[in-house]
Amino acid sequence: MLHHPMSDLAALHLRLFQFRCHEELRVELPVGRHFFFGSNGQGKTSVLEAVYFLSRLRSFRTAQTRELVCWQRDCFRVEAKLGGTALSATWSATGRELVMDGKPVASAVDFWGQFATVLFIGEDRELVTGSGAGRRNWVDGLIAQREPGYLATAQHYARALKQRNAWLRQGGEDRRVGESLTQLVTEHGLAMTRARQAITEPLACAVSETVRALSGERDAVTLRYRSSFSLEAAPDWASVAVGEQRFQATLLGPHRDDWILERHGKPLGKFGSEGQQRTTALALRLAEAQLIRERRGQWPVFLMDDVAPQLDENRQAALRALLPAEAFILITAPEDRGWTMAQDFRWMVSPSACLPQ
Amino acid sequence: MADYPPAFQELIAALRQLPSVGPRSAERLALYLLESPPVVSQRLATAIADCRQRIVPCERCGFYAEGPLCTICSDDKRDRQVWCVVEQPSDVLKLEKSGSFRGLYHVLGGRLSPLDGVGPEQLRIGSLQARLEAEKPAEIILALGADVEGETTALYLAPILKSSGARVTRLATGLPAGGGLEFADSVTLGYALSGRREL
Repeated sequence: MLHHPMSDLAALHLRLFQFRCHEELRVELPVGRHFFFGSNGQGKTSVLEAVYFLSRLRSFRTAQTRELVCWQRDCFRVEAKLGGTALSATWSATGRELVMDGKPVASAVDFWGQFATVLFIGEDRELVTGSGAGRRNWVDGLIAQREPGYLATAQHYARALKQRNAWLRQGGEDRRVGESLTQLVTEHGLAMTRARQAITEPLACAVSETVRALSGERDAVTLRYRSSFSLEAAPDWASVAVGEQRFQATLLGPHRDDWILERHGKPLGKFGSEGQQRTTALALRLAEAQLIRERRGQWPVFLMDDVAPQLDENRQAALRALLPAEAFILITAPEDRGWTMAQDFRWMVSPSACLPQ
Repeated sequence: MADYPPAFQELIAALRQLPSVGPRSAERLALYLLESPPVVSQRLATAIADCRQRIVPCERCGFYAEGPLCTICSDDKRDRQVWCVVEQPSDVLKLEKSGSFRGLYHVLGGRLSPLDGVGPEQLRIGSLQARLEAEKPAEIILALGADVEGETTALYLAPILKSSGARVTRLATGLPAGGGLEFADSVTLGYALSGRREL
């Protein structure tokens, strides 16, 4: 993980090469809040997307990485230098090349999350209202940015689960094959459950506190982990055997976990107002940043894609107060809506250019 | 538009079926074979045909053999009490090159993967059981991959092998020899920590 003395944190250097609409874009961002302005299609969000790619090796806008390549080009590269560490990710149709401090990194597991980020997007409300899959991904991303080994555990679990489901689809005939797969799903699944259980308490505290701060002490939101596996007793596979045969799918394990968000005892996803849901989604992201900072001793880079307009004025002011001054905060907006302050950095983005205003 | 003659195109197409050979490499190899003295391509053709004709799986362990038994199984100096179960014939050579193993092998011919339709029937597990009953080794080392498929196969085989009375072990996973900690990925380091040894 990257740990830097604050003196090294003076600037974040970014270079985007053949990325989306940017043929080549270089920018040096001092620590602080950066506002990226520009009309639609000028490549504001692409800057955030590039940083996110370096952090998570995927985009938050598309599942097709090839869409990130500049028109009529066949590869792209994103480079960043922060503190004493330099990271670079190059993608082409034939492969991906990851480099850290001049040395190639063979395994994505060892590159993923080195550059910690927290993403804020308009669709974040779905973290509150949407299915459990979104919340599982969110918590897993948070744990993996705190504990690098977690990513491999989650990948092993996903693969074992896929194999077990394939075995069930084939009628689950060879019982001993099934037992081996069940043992693997249990082993990796329990490791995931332990990590998820451990993160829940600090996460729940951070979320409640942040919701209160954002809403001016009015809202009381709780977060509770509902795990499929129990850490006290072995999973009762016999109890789901009939159902698994019928549905041909694994019915126990962390892929069925969820986190329940409630406000005054009522499910927030169903009974909360849109504003309450948005505030909570924002609190989830801010709590994520806080927990990453607790573990790594440094704030992750905040990537905020046009999130402020969906909040009322009080909440916008509360959010502004909650954003740490000593973090790199990248915010996109079509225009300055009076959210910026004197010490903030303002940039005008257009294809291959990012000019100070 | 003119193209290579059909026979030449067929050669390119045949070469392209090989692993790691793309269209340009296939074309380059075909051109080389065509332009070099006939003896080069004749030697290659004979070697391929001979291999296909003579190489068969060893009746006992499944490794490559030119007769009923491979050179390892027919070697009297090998330790018949210790066996190593591997996925592929090429794994045998990797272990042989290490020079650390002097026992016998059993090649499974793959690993369990319901996703790819590979079950126990597709692997040489039946012949392993038959061998176990006949030869009764003292120890069996499972030298399978540390991924999900390798682990599933090991978990599947362990009770079968143990029921024969043999001691069953797995290869340790950990740090590469001669490498510093900075070169180990986090997962390997995790395995190395959990499999640490007393000094």
